[in-house]
Amino acid sequence: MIIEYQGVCTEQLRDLNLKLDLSSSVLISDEHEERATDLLKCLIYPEYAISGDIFIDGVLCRDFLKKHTITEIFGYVFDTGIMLSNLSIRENLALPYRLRFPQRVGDEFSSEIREWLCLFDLELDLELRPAFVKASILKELCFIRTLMLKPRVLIIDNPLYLLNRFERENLMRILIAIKENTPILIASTDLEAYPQMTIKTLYWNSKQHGYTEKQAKA
Amino acid sequence: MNQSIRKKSFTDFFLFLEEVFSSLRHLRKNSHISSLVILRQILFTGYEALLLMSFIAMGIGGLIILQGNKLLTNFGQGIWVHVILVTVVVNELSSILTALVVIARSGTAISTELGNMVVNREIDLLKSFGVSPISYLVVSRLIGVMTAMLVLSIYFNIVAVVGGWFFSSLFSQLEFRAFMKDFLSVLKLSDVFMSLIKPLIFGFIIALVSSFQGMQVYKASTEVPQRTIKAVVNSIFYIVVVDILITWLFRFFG
Repeated sequence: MIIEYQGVCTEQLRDLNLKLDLSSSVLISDEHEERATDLLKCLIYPEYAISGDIFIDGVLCRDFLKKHTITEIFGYVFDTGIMLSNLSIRENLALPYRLRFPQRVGDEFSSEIREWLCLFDLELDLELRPAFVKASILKELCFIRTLMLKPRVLIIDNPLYLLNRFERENLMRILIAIKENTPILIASTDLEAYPQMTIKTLYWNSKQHGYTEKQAKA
Repeated sequence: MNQSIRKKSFTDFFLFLEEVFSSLRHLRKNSHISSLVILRQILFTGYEALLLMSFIAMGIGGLIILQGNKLLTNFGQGIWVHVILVTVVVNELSSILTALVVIARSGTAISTELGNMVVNREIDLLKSFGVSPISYLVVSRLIGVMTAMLVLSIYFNIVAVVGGWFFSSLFSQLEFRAFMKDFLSVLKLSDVFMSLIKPLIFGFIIALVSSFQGMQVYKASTEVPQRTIKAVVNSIFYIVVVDILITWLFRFFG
């Protein structure tokens, strides 16, 4: 998938022109994190851009997302574990799942959830409201929620934020496995945290407006 | 246009209204996920308010009958108590008092909940699933509040009338059948129609204004109580204006 930003302006971005080749995973390293976050947000909410155009495989992003459901194309993981506070954890996980796979029955969802919880080494009561769950666990659950949708591209804003060392190691292990089949677009400043991931990195330098592209390897 | 940094303007409400009507047209599309929100709203606005409504309706119905009976029987005009009951309770108080209770309980809750959802970026989350927050959160609440308002208003009328009889029977020997016969003899079809149309419109106004104010929160949690106050004040204002208008229309054409 090729994503092209043409003269995109947001609160943080000024006339951004950029071509992202998502045939492999990409890490965007921005010292001012908001710009990289805005870059990702523009894909999910095309209306977020004040001006400019975003193209996905040569098609205007708005038109592209009219033909496909967002959850089918992009899976977005926020920097914090955002969940709908009036729903239980199970309902939170089920909501986008039902939108993405309306034909699938409840048993399929339950067994899939068990597998993912096992993979993330989580044990918790799914009937709890998000307010009763630790922030780091909520963040992991948000990963599960997105990964269950099997999107074509996984977009992650600051993946390691809120997680402790063990949770980070576990997440990295999972992401390394996922990136074999699904390209991942990451916005992060923790460059040293991705040594095992052979990933294309875009360094965003604030002194000069532009990018230097490097291949970060272990 | 970037929604988050755009200045708020007078036209925002009308744009919001347009979006709500547009979402209402595509109601079926998201019905499998929004039905739960509708049911929960009916439960909170309607079912959980029944006790309070019973108390208010019983008290109001009783007081009107007591005061009316005391005043009018002195002049041998006891039947006018039922006219007052129909005019005051069925036509006016049932929908206005139900609306005030719903504003106090549900209007504030909707505004606060949606405001907090904006602050906690839950609205952004819904958008990331491709779910329209207007369709999922606002339209569902709109339907829930309108349904609950209609049911509560009918319930208010029944309790107020029965309560009126109950209180009056404490002080005078009045048979229920005779009481109801007198009551139904002065009740017109237009009164019934008005008492059904008003709660629906009031419910629409409460849910719309409260949702709008909630969604107008920008980023800070300190905006939430300010928006809730606005939701209450605006809802009351619009309801009184619309009530006058509907009553005038019914008097004029009815």
